[in-house]
Amino acid sequence: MRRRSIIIIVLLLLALVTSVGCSTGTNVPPKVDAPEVITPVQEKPEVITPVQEKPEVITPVQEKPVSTSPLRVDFLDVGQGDSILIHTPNSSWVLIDAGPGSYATTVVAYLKARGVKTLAAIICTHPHEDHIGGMPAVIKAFGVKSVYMPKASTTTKAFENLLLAIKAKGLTIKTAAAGISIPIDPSATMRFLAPLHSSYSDLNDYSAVLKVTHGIVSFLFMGDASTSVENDIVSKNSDIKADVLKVGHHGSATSSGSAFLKAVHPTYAVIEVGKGNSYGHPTAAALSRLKAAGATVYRTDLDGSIVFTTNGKTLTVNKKPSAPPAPAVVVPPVPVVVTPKPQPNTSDTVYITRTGAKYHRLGCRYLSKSCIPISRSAAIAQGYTPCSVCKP
Amino acid sequence: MMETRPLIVDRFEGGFAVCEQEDGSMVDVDMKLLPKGTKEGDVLRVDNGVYTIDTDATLERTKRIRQLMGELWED
Repeated sequence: MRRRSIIIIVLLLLALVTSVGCSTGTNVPPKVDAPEVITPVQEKPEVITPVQEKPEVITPVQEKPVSTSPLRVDFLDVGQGDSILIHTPNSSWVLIDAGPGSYATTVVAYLKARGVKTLAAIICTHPHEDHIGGMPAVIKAFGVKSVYMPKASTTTKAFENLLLAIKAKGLTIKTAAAGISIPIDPSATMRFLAPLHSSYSDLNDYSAVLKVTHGIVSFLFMGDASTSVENDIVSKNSDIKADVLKVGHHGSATSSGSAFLKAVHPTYAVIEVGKGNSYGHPTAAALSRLKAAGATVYRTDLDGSIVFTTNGKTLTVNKKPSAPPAPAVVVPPVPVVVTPKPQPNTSDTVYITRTGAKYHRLGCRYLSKSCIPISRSAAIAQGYTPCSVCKP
Repeated sequence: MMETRPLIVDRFEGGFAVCEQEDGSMVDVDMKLLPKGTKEGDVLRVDNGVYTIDTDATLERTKRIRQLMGELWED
């Protein structure tokens, strides 16, 4: 009897519990079925927090600092020379060349205006003064983590000063050569395509050629490599397509060959060149080949500094960057230092004699015994003074 | 005799040898004035408009800089 009543009580209790369970159970199914039923919310699993009603708005803000920050490439106007500043999506800075020594102040001021504190890498494409002259000042002014250079040697003080600046900072030099990558930012791959050999007859051909890719957008920086190197690069790489080409050797005729340009197929071509330079850069030959290849050409002598920005999909060009003030404006306190080297009236030809200390105009009566052509700047450099008769 | 100052050939551009002067500034010299076979990195002396290659100075600088490179290069 007692046993039976206990069983009844237990059964009643069970019935009660299940009924309560059932009443709460009506709330349970949505939880279980949630992923399938609440289709619109499904896209964002984190959206469980009820306050976030608009997940679409949150998405771009969240992603920006992580990986979609743009890659920015500044081609600095450094007269007759090269200097390119890269800012990667993870906020690393890379500098390719630093212009001639006469533009060192300009380059340092530009980098400071852009907010550079430490350069993750500097690349000296090859040891010519119009590429490395400004680099010692940059190394002194900023933190530098790594240095890439082709193993090429010369005897100038510009090169010696570069090595001494690297030494003074306790840095070492990594060889820039085909196949070597700069591991700075996983979303911006940087790979050297040249030099491909350990020895060349011309320093230009040692140029460290760098390809930088972010998403589907890529840049190819040629240094001063000539057509023989270009062809070598084409034959050893299956894909050298690039949206932006830093034209080799300031648009000289010995770079930018048709076959190479066809393989690169650049949308934009940038020529770093000084206004009124004495070397005929850029040449009509290179310009016409670039035009034939369908590239839109930008030139630092005409456009000033040129800035490209890409999110990995699209590319925008800004010829007059608003973010950093024009370097010319930053520098005014010391305009003398900034004076570009190729001055039109110092490169023309004057004439000297075997024994005299004066230089002359062609036809001057003092040139009757000997008449040796020389550039005006060289004559002045060697201590010759202008003739007071012909006033050259 | 004029005082002669050394020049170092940095590079060749469009018929000019671009030379580095002692103060680090650059000067264009007509390539026709230079001895045949002048190369990048040659130290030049100028005497009354006549250019010669200073082979001793060139060798001395080459050695000095190669040694510095050896100290700094990782490989």
